[in-house]
Amino acid sequence: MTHRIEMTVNGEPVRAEVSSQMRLLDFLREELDLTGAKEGCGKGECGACTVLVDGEPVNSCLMLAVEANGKEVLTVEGLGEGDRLDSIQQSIIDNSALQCGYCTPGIVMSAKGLLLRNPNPTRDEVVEAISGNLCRCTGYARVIDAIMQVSASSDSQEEGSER
Amino acid sequence: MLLPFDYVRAGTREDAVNLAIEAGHTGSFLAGGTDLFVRMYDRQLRPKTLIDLKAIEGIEGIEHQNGEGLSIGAASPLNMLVRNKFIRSEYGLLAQAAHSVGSLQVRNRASIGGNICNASPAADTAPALLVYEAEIETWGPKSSRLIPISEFFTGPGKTVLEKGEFVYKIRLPKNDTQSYGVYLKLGRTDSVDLSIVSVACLAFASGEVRIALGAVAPTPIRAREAESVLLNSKDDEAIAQAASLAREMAVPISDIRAGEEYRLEMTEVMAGNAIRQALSGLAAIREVK
Repeated sequence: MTHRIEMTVNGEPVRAEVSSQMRLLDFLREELDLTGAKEGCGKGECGACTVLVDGEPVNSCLMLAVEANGKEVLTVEGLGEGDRLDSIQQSIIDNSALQCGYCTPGIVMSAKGLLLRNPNPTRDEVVEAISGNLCRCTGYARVIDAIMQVSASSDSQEEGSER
Repeated sequence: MLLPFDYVRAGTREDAVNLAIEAGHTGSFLAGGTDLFVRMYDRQLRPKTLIDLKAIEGIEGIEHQNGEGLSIGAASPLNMLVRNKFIRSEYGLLAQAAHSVGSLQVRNRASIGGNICNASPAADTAPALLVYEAEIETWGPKSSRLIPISEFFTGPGKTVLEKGEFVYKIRLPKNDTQSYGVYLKLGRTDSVDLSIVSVACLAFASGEVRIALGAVAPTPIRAREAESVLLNSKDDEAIAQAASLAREMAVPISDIRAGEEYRLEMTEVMAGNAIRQALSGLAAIREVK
């Protein structure tokens, strides 16, 4: 069975026909060529596939493309403007908060979801926000530092605001 | 990748029932999908039709009217409960339990109805619903039913729901007196993992104390014998006795997360902790008033 769906992905309207079983993750990667969201476990435990749906972080491996019909999806490719990185991305680089990078897009999107909802989180709130994102190389200390630094430096809630 | 299936969206409750009857035993209801899709990914379940319930009016959202208690749409995601101010203040134990499920991402999708319909002995919201004496409003081929949560679970993965019947709302009665609740969950990690043992304890200003246990029996259970000890006395001896009775009610299994003996030991320890924390929490809010 196929379905006609319409959604907004990274600010752009998208129309497509998808099969019932196509996950949002597959749709983004295979149909839209947005490969920032990664498949790690496929079971909602690792968070590498995290994207924002209507501003909230979700595991795109546990959501069907057809369920995202009418929704607004934001992936890591939709952050920043042109060559300018989002402040979270820049802070991850500045803090060397990655090694292999596989988990990074998911962590960035979890952080984005947190800061959209709560521009000045506590350290505990940052820890909670990335509790569904597994990193198996670098650990979490630098990641948490990086997210804390963004929240400390951004006085406004503007998206992609300069640090 | 998921194996092929047909996704259909139910527009109304009647629609959902009809679609379920049509799909027969190869159909499955869909709410948040965070458990269902995992089982489908693992090929434990191979439904041919998924009936999405989320578009049904009233199945998502939280309502409360003065003096009427609380009504939660079954497809409400757990984060909706966690962030709801009324639930946090009046049914805090439920907010704690919902908050302990999975990760933030999972809680944005996972529904409270799905949490109980999967009927895992470790379902985190179940002990909370047991101590609040919730009622499960279902909709099915025959009629709508109101089932006490204490009669809802029949075994691991099993409930009293009949073919084509789904949970529409979860109703929590009004708290007549002040109460303070604590949900304690022991897992291998703070997030994502399922519980090894969980204890819900709700203490009322009237003197009543309710206790429920998760992950230590074929279903989540009320520990009524432990509760009755605390009716007359709440001193250290009574609390120790109640905790010991909670342990006696537990019939846990050994699995990948923990052994039976460890679960028994932890049931007693955590029941004692939960009772103490609930009683001192209640004393603190009564002092403020």
